[in-house]
Amino acid sequence: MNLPSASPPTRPPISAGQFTITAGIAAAIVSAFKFTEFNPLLLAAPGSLKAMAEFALGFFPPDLSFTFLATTLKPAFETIQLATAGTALAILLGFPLSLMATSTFHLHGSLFEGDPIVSKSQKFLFATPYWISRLMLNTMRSIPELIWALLFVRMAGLGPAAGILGIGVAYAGILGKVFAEIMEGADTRPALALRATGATRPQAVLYGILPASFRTLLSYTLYRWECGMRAAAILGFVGAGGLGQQIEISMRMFEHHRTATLIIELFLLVALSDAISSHLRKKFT
Amino acid sequence: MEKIQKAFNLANVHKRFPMAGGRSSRGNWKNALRGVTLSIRSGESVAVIGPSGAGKTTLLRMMNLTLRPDSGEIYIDGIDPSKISGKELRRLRAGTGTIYQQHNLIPTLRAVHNILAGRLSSWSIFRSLYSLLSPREINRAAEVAHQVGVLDKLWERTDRLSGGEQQRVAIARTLIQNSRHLLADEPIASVDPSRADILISLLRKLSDKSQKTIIVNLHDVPVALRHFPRIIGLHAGKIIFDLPPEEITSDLLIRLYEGDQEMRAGEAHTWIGEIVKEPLAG
Repeated sequence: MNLPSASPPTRPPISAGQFTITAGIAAAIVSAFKFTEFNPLLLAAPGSLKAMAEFALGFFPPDLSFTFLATTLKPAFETIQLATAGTALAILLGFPLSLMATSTFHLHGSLFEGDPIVSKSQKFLFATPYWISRLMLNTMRSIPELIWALLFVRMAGLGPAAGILGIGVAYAGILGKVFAEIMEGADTRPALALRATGATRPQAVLYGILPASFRTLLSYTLYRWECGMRAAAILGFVGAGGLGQQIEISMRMFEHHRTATLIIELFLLVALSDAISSHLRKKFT
Repeated sequence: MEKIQKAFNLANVHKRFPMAGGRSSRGNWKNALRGVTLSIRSGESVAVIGPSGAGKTTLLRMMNLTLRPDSGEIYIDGIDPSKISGKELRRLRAGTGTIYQQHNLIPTLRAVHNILAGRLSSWSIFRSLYSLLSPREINRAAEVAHQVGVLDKLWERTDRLSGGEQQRVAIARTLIQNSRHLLADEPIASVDPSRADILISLLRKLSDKSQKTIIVNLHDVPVALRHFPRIIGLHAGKIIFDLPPEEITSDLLIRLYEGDQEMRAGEAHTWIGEIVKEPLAG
């Protein structure tokens, strides 16, 4: 027996907006391949396959001699230092900026409920730190760490200092923005409850928002440290030291056996930091 | 001059909110309060009853100064909060402690910090920060924790406590705040019915001891009638009665809960019956 109410209602038509967005994305992907003249079939051509095989075989066997391994210890350690010091600098720069860049602390939202209504010009004035910090974070973030490092190499000379500054500044931009977003998403009811007891807005943030967001902030910072490890390798290519610089040198000298060893070491280092950070993050969340 | 003896004085207070999903510019508003006038003396004990959506929480937030009315006047301890700001406003807010239905504690902090958060209005930002690292005024915190029976939970993380224990921590926070007035929004809504009377008695006892004004939003009519000498009935943003419990009839309660889904036929009569069986405690 058919239930009279079981026939489905008519499906709403696809809106013009939905169609435009989907078509737009598809067009962007197709044109990206077209304009970069990327042709995957080229890789499979018989000539290039042979060249690739020869190139790959040149890396074997990796140079595992004790004397060489011993010389890579310092660069490996330097890569870890680059990532760690860079991330630490990023927290130092990014956290205070994120406090300024959290809209719910300065512009609107629960933390302001019941507060006196301010005039438009006052509101504009209160919002100044917010806009300045957003502008700073966006600038720091939109320039990649490699470019920052290149600039700092000119200023601070070759070596880890330029790499630390590069990671520090670029990651401060990322951390600051993400921190602000995490804190904007935090439950504001506990903080509003504190404001109702007569606490100031900074006190409500200190007790009501920061402790609740702390684990998420820490977890994201650890993830950034892990990314910093990979970034540190790349920065070596512009003279910031570490394993990256050794890889660059060995490639330039056509010492492919050594390049292989260094790449394996980098892989192990990244895998190790990945394991450490995911273990710690699991503990925090 | 009369206003000065009054703890809370509201005159023709209106408040409306934009409807969820709707745009306020299109005029989709929900009227939460529609001309509320009431005055509560310092030290009085009052229960506010009414169906969900009647405006009980909005009224409470008017009184703890986390909402401003669209129109109408509010005086708290004789002061017009719309005329003050900054430090003065914070001092006025510190005079009223609030207990929330969801407790609104910080789950990741230890109970001791949630209790001490009631002291923030007297602390500088530096002392507040220092206290998070090494708690200040522990003796005070321990004293209020003892009063509500959570002394042994002082160093526990708040989210590891049971619902009842968390509520006691929230009460301890208002005690350490040492406010003149205490507001509570549905404090027994998430409490085991058998413990509802114990909790309300505790709140009454704590406020009587320090002669605090206490205003409690309640969904449970029998509990309200048993424990409070003054009952305010709020329906669709308007006060429809403001009477001592003896004068409340089942007809009034039926009017109060008119159109409410949870209201079952004849329940109002049972509520009155319960009061007759169990006369006012204390």
